[in-house]
Amino acid sequence: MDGLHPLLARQLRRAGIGDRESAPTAAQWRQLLDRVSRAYDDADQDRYLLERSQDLASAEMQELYRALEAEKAQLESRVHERTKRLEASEAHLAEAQRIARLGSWSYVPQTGRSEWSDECFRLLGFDASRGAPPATDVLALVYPDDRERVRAMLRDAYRRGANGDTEFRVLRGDGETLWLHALLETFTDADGRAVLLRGTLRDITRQRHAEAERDRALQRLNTALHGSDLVLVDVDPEGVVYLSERWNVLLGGEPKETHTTFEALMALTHEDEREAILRQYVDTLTGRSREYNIEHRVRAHDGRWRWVRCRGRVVERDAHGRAKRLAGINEEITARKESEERLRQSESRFRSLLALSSDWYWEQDADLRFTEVSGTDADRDRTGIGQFVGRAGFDREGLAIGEADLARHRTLTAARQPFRDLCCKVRGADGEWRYVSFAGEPVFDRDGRFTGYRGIARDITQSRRAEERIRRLAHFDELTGLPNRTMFMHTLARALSLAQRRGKQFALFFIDLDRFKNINDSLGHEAGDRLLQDVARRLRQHLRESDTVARLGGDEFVVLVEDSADPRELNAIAQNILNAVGRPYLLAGREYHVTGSIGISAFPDDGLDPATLLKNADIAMYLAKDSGKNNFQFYSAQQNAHSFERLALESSLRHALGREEFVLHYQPKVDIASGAIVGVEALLRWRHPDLAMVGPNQFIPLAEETGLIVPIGRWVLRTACQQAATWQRDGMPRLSVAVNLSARQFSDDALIDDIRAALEEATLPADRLELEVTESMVMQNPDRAVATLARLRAMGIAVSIDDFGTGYSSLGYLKRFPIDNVKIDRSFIKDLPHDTDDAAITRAVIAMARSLRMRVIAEGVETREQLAFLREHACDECQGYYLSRPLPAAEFALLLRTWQCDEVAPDRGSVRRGFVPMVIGGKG
Amino acid sequence: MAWRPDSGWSSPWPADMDSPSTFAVLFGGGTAAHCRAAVAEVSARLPRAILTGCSTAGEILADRVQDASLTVAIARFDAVTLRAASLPVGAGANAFAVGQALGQALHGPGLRAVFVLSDGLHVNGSRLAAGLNDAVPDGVVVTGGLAGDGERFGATWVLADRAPVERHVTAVGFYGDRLRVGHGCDTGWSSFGPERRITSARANVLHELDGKPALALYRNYLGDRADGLPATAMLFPLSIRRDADDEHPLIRTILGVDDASDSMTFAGDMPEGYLARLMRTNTDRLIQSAGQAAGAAAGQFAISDAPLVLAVSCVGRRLVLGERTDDEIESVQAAVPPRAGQVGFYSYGEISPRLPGGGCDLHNQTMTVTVLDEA
Repeated sequence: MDGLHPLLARQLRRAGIGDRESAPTAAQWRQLLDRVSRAYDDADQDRYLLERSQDLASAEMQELYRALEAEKAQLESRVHERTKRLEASEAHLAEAQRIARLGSWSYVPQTGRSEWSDECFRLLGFDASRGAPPATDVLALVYPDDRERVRAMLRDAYRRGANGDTEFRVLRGDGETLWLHALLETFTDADGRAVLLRGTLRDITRQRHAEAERDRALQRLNTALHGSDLVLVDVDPEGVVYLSERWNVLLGGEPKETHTTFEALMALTHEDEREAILRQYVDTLTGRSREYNIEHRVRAHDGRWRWVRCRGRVVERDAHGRAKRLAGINEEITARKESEERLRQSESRFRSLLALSSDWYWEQDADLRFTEVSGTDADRDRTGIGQFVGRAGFDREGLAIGEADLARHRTLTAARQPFRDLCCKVRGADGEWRYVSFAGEPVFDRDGRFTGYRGIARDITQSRRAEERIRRLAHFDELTGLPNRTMFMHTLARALSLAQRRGKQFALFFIDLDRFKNINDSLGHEAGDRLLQDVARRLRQHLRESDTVARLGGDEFVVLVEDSADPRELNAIAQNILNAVGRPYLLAGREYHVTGSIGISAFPDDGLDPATLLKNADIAMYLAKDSGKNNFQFYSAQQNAHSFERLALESSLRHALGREEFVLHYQPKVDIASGAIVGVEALLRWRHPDLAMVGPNQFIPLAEETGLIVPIGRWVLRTACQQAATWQRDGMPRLSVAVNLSARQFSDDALIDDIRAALEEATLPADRLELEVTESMVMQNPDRAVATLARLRAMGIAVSIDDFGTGYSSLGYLKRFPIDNVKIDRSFIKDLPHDTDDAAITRAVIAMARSLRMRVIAEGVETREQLAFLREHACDECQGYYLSRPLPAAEFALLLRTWQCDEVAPDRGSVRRGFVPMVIGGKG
Repeated sequence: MAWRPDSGWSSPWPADMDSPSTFAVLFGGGTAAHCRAAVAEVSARLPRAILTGCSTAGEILADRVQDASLTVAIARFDAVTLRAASLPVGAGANAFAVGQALGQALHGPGLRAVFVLSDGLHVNGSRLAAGLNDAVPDGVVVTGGLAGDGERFGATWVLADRAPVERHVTAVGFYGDRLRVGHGCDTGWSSFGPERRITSARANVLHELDGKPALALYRNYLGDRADGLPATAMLFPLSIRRDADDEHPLIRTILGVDDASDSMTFAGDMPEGYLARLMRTNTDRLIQSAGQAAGAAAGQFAISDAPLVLAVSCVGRRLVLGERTDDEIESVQAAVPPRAGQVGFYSYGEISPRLPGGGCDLHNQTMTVTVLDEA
């Protein structure tokens, strides 16, 4: 294998074809060929790599070359650009020289060669095409007076290498004289010989003329100053000040020029003005302000202040814009200042007087045309006072003014007399009518000529209105606009005497609203007032014009119906009134129903004087109230019979406590979710010996009225607590007993003590007691209620709002009271779930109570459907005959033991856990 | 020695090699499953030894390259002690943190060298190297490489806890004064053409050179072989350097291209602002450079007659070398003593210091030689 390529040798080895003489197998051959073939492929690839690399390298070179080319082109273009710019700048230079009238030239002494710029030729009037003329030709143009100076400058340049700077005149070939300013620069070699002269020539003819003119002006100015009181001031930036001679006169001395300093001058000026002076001075120097202009005081030699007005400006600045000189005029203005000040003070006094008063100041011209009315435009427009401006007098349309007033005014003004209290009514942009009272006096000029009127106008609307109101209040009710008691008594007396004289009859209706107090308490006084206004309006609408309607006060109205005593007619009128009053009222977005009770007395049957008639109508009205309200009653002497009946009931009620005729019945409250009895409400029953069981509705109002409710309530509280404690001892499930409080009890100061005593006596934990109060009880005196409820809560006693929904309060309003539970009134439950209104209300109450974290208890649940509805809407607890009627204590204990929970059949397809109550004792 | 599925172990198992100071390195051609049985056998035979290893794009044993084998080298040290650590690299793992954690795990008295093997596809090798540098003291030689998967770029494994697992990085620390370690790293590639600036890149994904799409530029470079992207791009890697003053450029091989986003993925970071230049080579140069790397590694200390030589070469080199791959390996062997035991693998990236004493870096297209010996 010697001499073989190492790769081939290795391939042979790998294929197993070594030095052995044996012939390779077919497999060995295939492997070898495969390897050799791959080696060729590799070699191809290697070559490709090389070639490709070369190609790429060459391509990259090309790219680099192209980049270089591009750069070169860019460079060339830049050179071209620069050349063009250079040419342009040369042209600019020549142009600049022409504009500046400045020529430049150079001269090389060794070669005698000189070069002039175009402007040089133009200035000296030589022909540029002929080249620069010899120096002698130029010198020939120079004025003889100046010639030696120019020649000396040139000589010094040649000999000493000196620079030169001189001004001279030339008389040009065209006959014009020019002032020229020559600057010369000389360049010398090592030996001090001039090798190059370079210079400029500038035409300064115009400046020279201007300077001459300025000198003349200065002379004129000096002359003028001398004759006037003006002071010339000249300040340099170092603060050296020159003041012309009148300055000293101004200070009270002789005419004398003053040389002083800025500081010294400042020391003379008034302290208050120094800062402003300094600021203006600096601003003027720095160029921030163009002119110095200030009025200030200086102390004169006699120590008094003199007012001076100083005006000045920078008259000279250096190359950097720094001020070199400030010049101006001072003049005394003391007299003017003093009169100005007096005027200002007087004006200011006037303005502040005007501003302090609500009056307007006005002026009229000789034609009595208003030329000025004070105040802002907005104020004038709003009040209507603006309509006077530019117009004459008061006699015109749109202005309410009395004829007599106007006539008197005309007389006064014709006589140029002062006038006052001229009152007219004007209407402002705000649509309001205003009373405006004018007072004025005539004005005459120095020569005694009448020039107009001036004076004050005053808005007297408020006082006018107040007067009117006072007049009305005496006789009318402010709220309803109806006649008040005073006025009505007048009317009644008049009607009575008229009827007596003519033998006529009349009737008196005494109307009192039922439950008005509820509205007032639960909706607030504003709503109550609205209701009263509505009632007044309806009464007015439904009665004849000849009838008198009045409000006596509160919710009491009276109607005087003249010329009638026919009971049928009066019946109709009364019914008409009841109907009108009984229609719903829209208050705070809701409808409310209010009824009225009417008592009727008639003249002459029921009284012969106003007081008796009114009293008897009032008595009849109470009869109507007693008869269930919303009706009317005629006065009758038999009214006492009713009172007797009441007296009997009251008597037996008084004995009921002592005779132990009261019992408590207990009705369970059931947790809807768990089905467990969680509470019980104690309900009062009266076992009357003659009347059997009397319901609370029959005797509670009487008990309230007589005050018996307080001892009865105390008994209920004690009994309920003892019963609850007994159950607790007997091992009954934990539950709380709810006791209803009466209004009297709730507002009784002893309530808390009574409760504490009842709990202690029974040894019942406070959290086992629950109290139920009604909305109206809470609303009667909300502040007191909050305090009472808070104390109850502090004791751990839960409070429920009973009969919720029958009052007028919203649940949102209730949230300010510490209340734990809300009991939905049975009237809403009764028609569930079919009555959509009741269903909506119930759902809303549940949702709202939930959001206020109160528990909701439904009262009066009597059907399975009602219970299902309440459960579906997540009402917390329920109470009612469907679960159990109120039971005597012993039966309730039995109910507690046997009460069981169970599964309820699927309700609307979804399986729910619920309970089946064991109804004990059947439905009521 | 090597194991092949058809012929078993190439030589009988040596006796008495197992000890806590025994270093066994395994390079497997093929999947983890393919090698599992053989790895298990090695593990069973060397219960006390420290095992490391990874999948390859070609296993180097002695003077030749082979595929689909499990090549094993066992070195039993006398006084040198060993410790191994492995960490998983989940999706989105921070390679720097992984390198740091491994370095900290191995950090200890007498640490002289670290041999690291990493998953070849899911780890940013540059960040891994930086993390290791951060955690190990100066002077500790860190070498190693990224596991390969033939030319498939599908799945790679390393040995962690004596089992082949994907998505792991494993490293072995060598401790003790008597350890001698030498390393060399050479490429044989040279830059040509103009230098272009990396104007748009994110980590190891390159978008633009000099403001132009890099992929288009590459297609132009490759000419009629552009169809073979990305494999053919191996023929033209990029050298990158921080700036014109940076005298030690790094080589970056292309791993993949994405026509949709006009981007190219490289086997290492392509920092924006770096200068990039095309590279070329030929087989002779590659072979020569391998010998230089080995010479550098062996020349750093007085070498015994039988050191362990670990050669990690780039899969890209193998692609170019083809049939002459063995020449490169021979070139290495010629530069080390005749009885030296040489194993190694073709990798997806080599880890080694650029210069003696420096921190390690990720390289592409190099032959990296580590010589381990005990004085």
